[in-house]
Amino acid sequence: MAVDKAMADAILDTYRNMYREMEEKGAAGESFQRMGETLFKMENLAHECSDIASFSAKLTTENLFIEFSNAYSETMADMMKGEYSADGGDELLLEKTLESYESSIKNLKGHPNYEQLKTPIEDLIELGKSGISYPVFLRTAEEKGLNKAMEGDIVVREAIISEKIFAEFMHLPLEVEKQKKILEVHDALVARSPFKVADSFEFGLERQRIEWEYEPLINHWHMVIRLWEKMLENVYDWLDSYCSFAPHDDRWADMRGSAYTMRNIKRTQECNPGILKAREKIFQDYFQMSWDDIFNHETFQNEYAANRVWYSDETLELIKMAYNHCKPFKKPDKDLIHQAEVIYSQKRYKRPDAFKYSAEDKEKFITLFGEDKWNEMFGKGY
Amino acid sequence: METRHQEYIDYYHVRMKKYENNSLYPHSYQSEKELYDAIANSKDLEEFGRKVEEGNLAVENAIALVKDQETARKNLYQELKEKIRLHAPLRILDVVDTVTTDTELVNSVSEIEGEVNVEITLDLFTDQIYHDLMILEEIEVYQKAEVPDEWKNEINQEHPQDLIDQGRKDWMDHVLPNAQQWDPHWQYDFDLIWEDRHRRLIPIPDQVLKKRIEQFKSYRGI
Repeated sequence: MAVDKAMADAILDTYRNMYREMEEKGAAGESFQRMGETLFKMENLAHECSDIASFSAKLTTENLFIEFSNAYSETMADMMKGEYSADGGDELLLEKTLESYESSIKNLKGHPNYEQLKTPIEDLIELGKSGISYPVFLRTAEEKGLNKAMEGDIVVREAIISEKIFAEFMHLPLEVEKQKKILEVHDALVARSPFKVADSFEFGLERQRIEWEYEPLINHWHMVIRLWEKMLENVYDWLDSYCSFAPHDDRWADMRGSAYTMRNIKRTQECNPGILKAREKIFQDYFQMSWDDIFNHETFQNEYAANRVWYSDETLELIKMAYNHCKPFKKPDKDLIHQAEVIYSQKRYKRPDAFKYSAEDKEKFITLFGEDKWNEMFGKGY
Repeated sequence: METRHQEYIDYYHVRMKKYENNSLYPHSYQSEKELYDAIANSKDLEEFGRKVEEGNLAVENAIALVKDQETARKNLYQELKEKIRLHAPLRILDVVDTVTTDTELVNSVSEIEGEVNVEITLDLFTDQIYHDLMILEEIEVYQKAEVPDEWKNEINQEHPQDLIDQGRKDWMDHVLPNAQQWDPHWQYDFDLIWEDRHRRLIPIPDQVLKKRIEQFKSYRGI
């Protein structure tokens, strides 16, 4: 069974393009032949492997990426030698350089940032065609930072801003902070650069350092949320399981009949307090936090502000009160059960804005993906 | 002096200035300076061409850049205690002075990067324990929950055992075959969990992690 075509293409297209580009330039010889043979092996593996993971593992462990790249660089070197030794001098070198820029624009077609990426390359082509000599072309390209700009720095900066806006849209404060730091580092490198373009290598290192710093913090953040979410749910379900509506609620209703439904309810009533107690122990063991710490914790405050805590305020208050009764082998107070039934009958258990996006969120989404995408995903009226 | 010669001198001057006073690129600056000195002190471009060829200056220039970049990567990974990622700059720096052509340089670097990428991929399988934490917590919650006798078997025994059975099956059907595609002899190495690059990603105290490791062995049947 072959690997999914779109996924295989995503990997192989780069290599196919490199091969085609060399072929169009009239490459020949042993190294070019090796490029072709390696590409042929890659194409075959895409047919032989059943999934993308095994395909990617085989390409790497059988050294095909490296074999291809080595053959490519040897082919390039052979061609360059031929061109250098040709009797065309600087004029020919300039011509070949501009040709390769033109061909790289062609290869960029279909790239999501095509317009931005091609602009600095077009600037270089324009400079090369302005009638200056090859060394003046090279010097001016260096002085104006055009070589660096061609590495796509403008796209890099915009991508960081987009990631920051997306993190804001998702209400992920540590991600926002991380992207903000990455942007600051980027801009500091630009300011320091004589050409006002960040050194992509140095920026890459600094970015790795920041991502490294934030990874454990982000893990910690998500684990805290995961634990308290389940604790709240345990108490909420436990109280509701005592209510008259429980036999009709999806949480317990069993297709096999009412006897099963009633057993499901009984399980929640009798087991959730013990389950909650075991969860509280993990919460304490992991983060030295207890139930009372949840509601003032930055993770809860953030999730609440992001509308991802879906319980209504009065249900949350009820959960807090019910918690005091949710101990192994205990039952909730009758008054709490009554309050839960009233809330349920009037459908007031859910916040009106649960999982909804604010006007600011909408604005951020549109900045990133456009209004059409917003309408497609959430409807025009949202 | 010919105009073209002067134009090339200006070009090499700009290249040299690019790295001047930049602590990240000491070798590159030195190499660019050698190129600049060579052209500025040649009577014509032909003499410069001979100097470049005799001194292998173009290749030395590429080597200098690789040295600078790999030294910076080495320093970063040493500082971050990224022991496996560190292999690439260390091995490149080990061989970089032995290459004599640009093709040999490019090929050596890409071969080392390829080898180390496989090492990194295999090392990342250590983080499976972090990905399993949620299910390990569920197993503990159900095994330890205080419940009436009527529920003990279902809650304390059957449900956690179902989770364990699924975990072992998933290990044999997916995780292990996937890892062994990268190394047919791969086996999970529990000692790696305690190495800084993995340990730092699991934000729980040591004594709790020790307990989770034992649970992980049982959950995955390893």
